[in-house]
Amino acid sequence: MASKNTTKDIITLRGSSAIVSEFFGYAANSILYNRGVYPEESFVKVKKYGLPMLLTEDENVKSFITNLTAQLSEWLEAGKLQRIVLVIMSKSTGEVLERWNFSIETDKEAVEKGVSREKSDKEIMREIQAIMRQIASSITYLPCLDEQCVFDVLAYTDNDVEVPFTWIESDPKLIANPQMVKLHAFDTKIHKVDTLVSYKNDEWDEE
Amino acid sequence: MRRSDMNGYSFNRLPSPRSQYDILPGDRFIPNRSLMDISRAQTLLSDKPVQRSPDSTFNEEYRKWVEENLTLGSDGKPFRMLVFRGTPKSGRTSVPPVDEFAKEEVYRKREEDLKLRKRIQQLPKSPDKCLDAPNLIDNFYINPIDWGKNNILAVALGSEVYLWNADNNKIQKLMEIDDGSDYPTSVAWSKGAKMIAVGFQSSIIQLWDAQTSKLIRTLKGHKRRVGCLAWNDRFLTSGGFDGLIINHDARARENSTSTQGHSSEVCGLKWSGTGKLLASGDNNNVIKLWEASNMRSDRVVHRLKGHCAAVKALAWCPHQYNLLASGGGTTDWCIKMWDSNTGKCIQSIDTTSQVCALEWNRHHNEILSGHGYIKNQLSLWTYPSMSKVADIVEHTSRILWLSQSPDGLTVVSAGADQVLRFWKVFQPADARTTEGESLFSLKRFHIR
Repeated sequence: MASKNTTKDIITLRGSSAIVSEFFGYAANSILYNRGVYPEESFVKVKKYGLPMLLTEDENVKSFITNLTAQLSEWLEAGKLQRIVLVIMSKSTGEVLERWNFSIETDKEAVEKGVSREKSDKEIMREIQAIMRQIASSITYLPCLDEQCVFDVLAYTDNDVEVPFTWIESDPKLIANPQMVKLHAFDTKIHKVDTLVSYKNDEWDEE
Repeated sequence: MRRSDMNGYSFNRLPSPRSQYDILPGDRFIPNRSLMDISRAQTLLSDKPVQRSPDSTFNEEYRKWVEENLTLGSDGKPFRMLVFRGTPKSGRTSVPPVDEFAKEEVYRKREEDLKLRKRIQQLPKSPDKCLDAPNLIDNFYINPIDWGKNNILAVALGSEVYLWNADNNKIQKLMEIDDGSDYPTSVAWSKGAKMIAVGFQSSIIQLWDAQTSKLIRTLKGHKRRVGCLAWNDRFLTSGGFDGLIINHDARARENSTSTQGHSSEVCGLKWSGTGKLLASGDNNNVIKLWEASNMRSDRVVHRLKGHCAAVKALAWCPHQYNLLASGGGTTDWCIKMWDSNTGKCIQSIDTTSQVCALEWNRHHNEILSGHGYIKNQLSLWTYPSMSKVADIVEHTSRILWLSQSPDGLTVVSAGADQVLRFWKVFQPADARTTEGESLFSLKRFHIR
């Protein structure tokens, strides 16, 4: 099959895009589980990145995430994706409570000339594993989300990108005076993904 | 520390010391000071807050203009902000009170009627262009037309293959087969339209370089006519009368894997948008879904049964990656929608006519189907309601093939009457105005 590489260590643009969009799919599922956006019973455990990862069983959420990661993969191959943000909002008030920011730096040479890079698959897996662990442990410092929450996914793309009608223009959904925590990054040598979570300060702390 | 017994979510384990400690310490982390804007924090702490009265000289319009034109990301690059509104996320929408519901129903019906009328007005009354296609073979089981990304339409007429350039209307003959008994039965442009594959009645497949009109390679493997071709990046998949599905690697010599996919002729072959799944329809009314990496005949991912006639028309939805549409032939007449994740039939519509081809609209939620007896019409349907928008009747005998232009606005229909008709049937995506609003209206779908 075209996108996965047979030799371990050569990364092509396509392979890298597949890795990044797959990572986002799993990260999004992990965030939804850990932050309690969807009930825990609706998740099932699978083995990925050497860790037990949780994936949602809810058909609607599953297809939502599949459709969107497919589009992200396309944009990544074109080198047009700058950032992906998963926003968690309160269902009742629509206020943004958390913002999981994944910024992407693309190696322009790989996009324009189609060169491939070398990096050990294992190394990339380890880096992703570290990020997944950090997401899981983030519940130790993130404020409790007591109320019913909903999520949205925003994409920051270049201006000249072709946008299917399933994506619409949006405001950035920022948080006022957020607390920010920078997590680990991973690098496929073609795409470098940085993770950052910003959240609304717990009012309790302000005293 | 990173052995398989480690539960990623247990917080009680201390990181094991020294020897295993590498640059990535696992789930513990130290906040990164690079994020803190120390100078700003200092200012906020020490300076007295300054009251700023709204500057009345600031023109609202000017401010908007500045925002629009000077929005740059933190790295200085201009960007667009997009939010995904594809499929509604969950069934957990709240139930509105009853009479509000009824009012909403009436309003929605009126709105839908208006939309329908507007859409019908936009449909072409006659073809944008007509091209004569003499010697076009009237055979349900072949696929002689394909519109490539280079905007060139390849057509197999009799024993020859022609290339028609949609930009400048020039026609060029690609090749002609001299053997009197053989003729091309399928054509397919590669993804980047650099190569074109031609399958023949005699079971061979030829790969041609379109720009130089040179034969690159001849591929063998089938025992009978090659009726279907489908490209997946650099792999060419072919389906034949013998029921075999063969994956050829176009770049390497003598590199192909063959599967006895079906017990009867393979009529339809389509790779999904993501290139992960292959759908193949056969003459025994069955559709099979295969995974790219695992094409052994006992490793079918799903068997989609339900049609009662040959399945030639197959089309993957461009905006919902697990949705496959299929059309049944004579006596079946149905268009069926399948979920490729579960293998279940989600919807089935009786169109009262043989379905020979399907094309999804890339810019809106619509699907176009080509039919045979009696009306030989093109039918346009909205998805997901699958209500018919209109019929376009002009062909004098059955439509056998449909192909879409690379910009997704024109569809060419061809059939037994040997005329290629080009229809500007699909409208371009609107720039975030009424169309986008009503399809995915935020007031109807909660942000879920």
